[in-house]
Amino acid sequence: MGICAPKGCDMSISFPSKPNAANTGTNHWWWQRVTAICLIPLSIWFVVSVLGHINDDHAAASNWIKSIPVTVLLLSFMVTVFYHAKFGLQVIAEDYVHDPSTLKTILFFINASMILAGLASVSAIVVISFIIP
Amino acid sequence: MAKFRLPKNSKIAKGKTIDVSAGTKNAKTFKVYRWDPDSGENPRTDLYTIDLDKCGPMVLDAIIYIKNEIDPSLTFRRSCREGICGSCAMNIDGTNTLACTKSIKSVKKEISIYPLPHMQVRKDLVPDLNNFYKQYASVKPWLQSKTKAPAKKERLQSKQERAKVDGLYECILCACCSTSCPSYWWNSDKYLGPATLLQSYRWLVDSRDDATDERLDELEGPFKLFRCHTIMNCTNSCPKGLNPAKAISEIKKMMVARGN
Repeated sequence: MGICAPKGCDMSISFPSKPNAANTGTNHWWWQRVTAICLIPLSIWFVVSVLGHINDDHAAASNWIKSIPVTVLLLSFMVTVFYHAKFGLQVIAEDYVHDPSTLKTILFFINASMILAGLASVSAIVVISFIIP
Repeated sequence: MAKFRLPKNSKIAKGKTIDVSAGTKNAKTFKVYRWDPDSGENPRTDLYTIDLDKCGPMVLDAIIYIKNEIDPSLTFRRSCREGICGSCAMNIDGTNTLACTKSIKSVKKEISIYPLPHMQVRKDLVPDLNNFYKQYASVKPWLQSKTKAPAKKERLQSKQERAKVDGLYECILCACCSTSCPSYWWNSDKYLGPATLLQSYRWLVDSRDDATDERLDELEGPFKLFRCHTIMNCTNSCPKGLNPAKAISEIKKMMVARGN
């Protein structure tokens, strides 16, 4: 087929040859997979446990959260789930939003909302477990 | 944002219906995408019904018959007619493949023929492959060695080293895989696509090539390599039976393994 020879080849391609930040692609891909694998057992535990405590009153639910293993698992679940959601939403935005400045804005809102949601969840668990007597 | 509807001047109209089968039992209808940039008209699909006893067994034979006997303005690329040049890649019966190796009998009903999807069309079944070739050139698909070539003999490889490029070197760059990939449809300006990445991997695993790190550096970033979401349309559509999705996964593994 009409492939030009290496010498004198038109290499002007529409995207920059070096990415802005080194290893952004690899890190993103790797952590998306690591969080996905962690979420398999964590999500099963979360759903089963919440269903098991569905009829608890406020005091019983608080007591359940206060036990150290539950606190640790809940914190891990929340951190992993929002970290994974950030990666997933970023991929969707990069796939479908083609205008660079719109993409930048959307990525900012994705990051901000995932950090806020993660912080809200983590601080709620910390407050219930360690601050409220 | 992504566009979900075709622009007005790209909407496909109903075209001509031409039946030259003369009532034979061995008739077959071909629905062929037609667009002439000089006419100013919208694209259309023409229906040609032909007598299969009068042409060869492959889809390419049928469209050559249509061009020769019915409409000489029908435009398409073809050359070797034996699946080695990759020129006659088109979308036949909903799948990207080579018209010369796709048998007419393998499709039960009417056979629809469109150009490779999501590419700019030059005319009828001819897509614009300029960006595709530029992307191929961008991975520097040639041997880059830090050692001088041995005088008067080849650079030698063991049988095992040579076996690593099996399933890669056979790629004929027909673009069936890249143009079947949704990720390539949405981001073909930034994502290199399965064909180019398979070719890149072909050099990454070549024992004689010393530019592995430089090649991997070039593929870093969220778009060139990592837009692949393992959809696997590429492997499904490859008319040579190659597995670009696996080659891409191997590159991703190499990226993680070298640890950056």
